[in-house]
Amino acid sequence: MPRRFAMVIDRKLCVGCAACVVACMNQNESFGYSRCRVTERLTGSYPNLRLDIFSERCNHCEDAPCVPVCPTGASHHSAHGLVEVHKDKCTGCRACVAACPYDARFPGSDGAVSKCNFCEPLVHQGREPACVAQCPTQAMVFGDINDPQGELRRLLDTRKAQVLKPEAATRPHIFYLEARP
Amino acid sequence: MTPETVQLAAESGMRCCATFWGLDIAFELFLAGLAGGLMILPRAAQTRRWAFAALALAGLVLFLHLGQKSAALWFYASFQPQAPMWWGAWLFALALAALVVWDRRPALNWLRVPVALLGAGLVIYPGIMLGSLAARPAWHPVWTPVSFTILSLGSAAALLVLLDPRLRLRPAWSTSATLVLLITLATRAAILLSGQG
Repeated sequence: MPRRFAMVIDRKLCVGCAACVVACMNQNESFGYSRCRVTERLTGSYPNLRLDIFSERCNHCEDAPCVPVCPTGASHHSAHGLVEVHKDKCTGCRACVAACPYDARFPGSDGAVSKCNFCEPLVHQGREPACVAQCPTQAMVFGDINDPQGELRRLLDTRKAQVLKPEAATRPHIFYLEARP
Repeated sequence: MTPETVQLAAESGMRCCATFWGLDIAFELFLAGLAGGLMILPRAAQTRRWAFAALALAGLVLFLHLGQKSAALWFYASFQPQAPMWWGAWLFALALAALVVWDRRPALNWLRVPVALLGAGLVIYPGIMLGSLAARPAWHPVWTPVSFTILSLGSAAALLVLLDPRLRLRPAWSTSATLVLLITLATRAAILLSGQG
């Protein structure tokens, strides 16, 4: 079975420190903007308050709506299922930005559209994405979802997981493990 | 006393692209729809230069909007029929070419048909492109194309009134036509911005 990269984020361990955001800026030499973000939502009535923290980025969806809308084919799926952008072919028309239900794409400083690529150059060297490597609570796990022996598969098989905006039916490849049992 | 419900949200990191298509694109959609409408309506032969000017200006606005202009030729060097914008790029190019040829060879009456068909494409396409984006529910898949089509035809008819030497001298007609053009432009901007942010 071909390798299919995915990410699992344990919401029980994520404290919202934004180290992933800083690691992303550092890796991509893009100080001032990051390809990921941390969102915090506080809801409820005192004393029953609930804080939800999500480290968000491109979900590398299997049915990514940003790929078919691209008029030049710049937005595409790589062999390992990553959603990538051919910088040379990207006109910066922002059709993919409009199509993404997760607001995970944005115009980059070079004019082409930018987004998380799971630090593909690092992954090709057999390393982890920068955000995963720098997470101080080790809340993030990156790996091949098709590897039955992998940690990522084990977590998905043993813990309850959710994806962002399941109603969008994009089959995201970032999974959030429930914070509560 | 009912406890107050708290709803707070904070965000750090990636800047959300709140307005990816701004007023420049609203203006471009207005001009392209206007040009498309002129190409369909009965006096297309007399207004083809107006249609060309509106479409050329729309194309210029669109080109200036592109983040990476050097890649613009990829619109035509790729085959992406599943992408509405790919069709839009070809509609622009073919419509401009057809209008130029028709202007140079006015005797070629058969050009009236392809010009009208390309005009219909220009009128219908933007609404379909926006309506097809499921991530933006404010752009309804049916009402957006319908409203864009009506607005495009309405704006073209309004311009015809303003270009008519008899009608434009009648204040009621000229005022109404000007209002239709302004309302069309404002509605385009409102629809476009409502789907973002």
